[in-house]
Amino acid sequence: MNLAWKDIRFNRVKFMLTAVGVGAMIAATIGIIGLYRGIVHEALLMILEGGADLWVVQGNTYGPFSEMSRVSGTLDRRVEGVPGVKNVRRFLQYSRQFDFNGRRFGMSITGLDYPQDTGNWLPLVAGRTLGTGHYEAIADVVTGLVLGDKIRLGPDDFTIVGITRGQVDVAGDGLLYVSIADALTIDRHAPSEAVLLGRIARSKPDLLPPGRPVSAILITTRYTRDIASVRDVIEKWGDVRVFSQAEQVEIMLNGRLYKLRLQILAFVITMLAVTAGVVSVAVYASVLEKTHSIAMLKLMGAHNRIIVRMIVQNAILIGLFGFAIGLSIAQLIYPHFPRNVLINWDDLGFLFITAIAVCTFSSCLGIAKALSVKPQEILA
Amino acid sequence: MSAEVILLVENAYKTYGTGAQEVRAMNGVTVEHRAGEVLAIFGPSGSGKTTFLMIAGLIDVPSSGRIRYYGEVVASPTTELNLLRKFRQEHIGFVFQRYNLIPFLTALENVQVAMELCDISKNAAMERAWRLLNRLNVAHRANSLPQQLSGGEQQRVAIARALANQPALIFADEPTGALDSVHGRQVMALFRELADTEGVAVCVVTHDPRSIDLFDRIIEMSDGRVVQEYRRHESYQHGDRFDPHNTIGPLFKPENWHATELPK
Repeated sequence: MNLAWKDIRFNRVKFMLTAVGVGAMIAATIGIIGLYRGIVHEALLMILEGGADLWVVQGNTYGPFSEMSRVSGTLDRRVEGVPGVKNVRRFLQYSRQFDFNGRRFGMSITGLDYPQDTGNWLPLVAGRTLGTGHYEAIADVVTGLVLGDKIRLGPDDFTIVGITRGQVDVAGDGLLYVSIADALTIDRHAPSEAVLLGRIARSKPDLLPPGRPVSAILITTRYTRDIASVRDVIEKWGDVRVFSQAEQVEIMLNGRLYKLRLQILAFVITMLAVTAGVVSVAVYASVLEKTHSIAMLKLMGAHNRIIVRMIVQNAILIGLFGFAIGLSIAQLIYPHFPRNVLINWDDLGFLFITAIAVCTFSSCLGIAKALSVKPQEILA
Repeated sequence: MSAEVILLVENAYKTYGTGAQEVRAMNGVTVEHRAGEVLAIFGPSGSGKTTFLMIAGLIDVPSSGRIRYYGEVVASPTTELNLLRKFRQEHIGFVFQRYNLIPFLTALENVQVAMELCDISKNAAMERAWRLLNRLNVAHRANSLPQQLSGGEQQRVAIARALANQPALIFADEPTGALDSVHGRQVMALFRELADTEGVAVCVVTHDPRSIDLFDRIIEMSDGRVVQEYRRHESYQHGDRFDPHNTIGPLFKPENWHATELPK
């Protein structure tokens, strides 16, 4: 006879309320882990899907995913000459606020080095890649732009020719892909007063701004074995720094996203601790209520292991039901979140094992109480 | 009486606390209990009845003295309580004033669990539980939870549970305390029947003299001692009612009993 199941059947409302409480906390934990996974996924999109073996960035910096990086817009010509280099693209990305149809929203403008790069690697859900080097844009669905929309960016109007999904930056703003020439134009666009001030500055050579810089240069090598040699050559130039794709991922995760990871970890630990507290209190209260029954079971000759099994099974069932409820809540609400909440099976597996372990551990207090109950108490 | 002696409490003492806090709850008690005998332990609150039940029922061990079952010493001051668990499980049944049914188990499961704890297979336990409930006229409430049963029904289920493992001895602690006179009488009659038909020894700790005619022997306790012991006269029939005034109760009539010489 499964005593835990019988107990739950009898106290089903209390059990379900506890499971719902645990489920809500598990749902929140799934959400925060999913949010982190989503942010990482989005942050690494450009690095992993851009197809570059090496990233050439401004010297003494860790590149555009960590800090401001500016390299000459003509650096790509220099890099093309390095033996082993198959393909070179300029990379430029920056955030801007835009007004469209009376709505203000943020976008990350990303330059595609047209015509080498038309955006054919992008996950299009509608439309096409860039067909010309000017005035065409590919927008992510989160921007709210649709095919055929015309949006003013800098001094020019751009037509949306393609729509992607899941292409957002670390802040959750959608990426807008334009040719790198257009990206530079939009970036340099300034009000008339600024243009005037610029002219004054140009009359004094010391104040000249760098000519049309980009964030980085992306290199694809002919063969994988060429990566090291290309890197050696470019690093000897001194004015730039070179990172592999793996290093860029590492810089993103342990640089820009490091604090976020710590926060997520702290939040997850807090949630698990609160879950442990809730389950501990619920199990302990349940044991207190059952003191008489436990004494009676012991009087009838029940081994301690039978009592312990009943309590642990109760706690595990709270965990199982809580997890199922949490997962259901997560599936129900996170698809409607404004940010991408990426729920993957590995995380769910880990969280499931952790939740069950936490619930099992949480039953310790109740077990200690139950073990202290003596059969004599039935006569008390 | 020639029936086999099942229980012998030999010069048992039980002391709680030490020094100034010391309380002697049982003070040199010697009692024997035979198969088929219904023994009543009477006495006011604090007389040591419950302590006697705990020591004789192997729920606790005596501070001094010995407890014999079937002539074998099973409990003494040095006995580990854990070692008594199995013996208690197989030979002793308990019935309480507040029934103490497990609230989250149905009537049937309450009886069944006592057998499953004794490693009896689920099917065999269920079959026997049905038989017991049927015998005690509560089979129609087998699937009800304790809270859905009347006091009398709960006590019948508790008795069925006490009988689950075919014990030689049943200890009943104030079994009629929460019942009205009709149901109280029914429960006591049931104990009498069990003793007569199955040879079960029944030890009833009680304040209630209403069913005094159903007992074979009465032990009066006070301050942890046995102060008087009565055995019934052969002529005294179960069901006879009396109205005298004495310490045991208004239904106790001394001429129907003979006082036993207590050991010094």
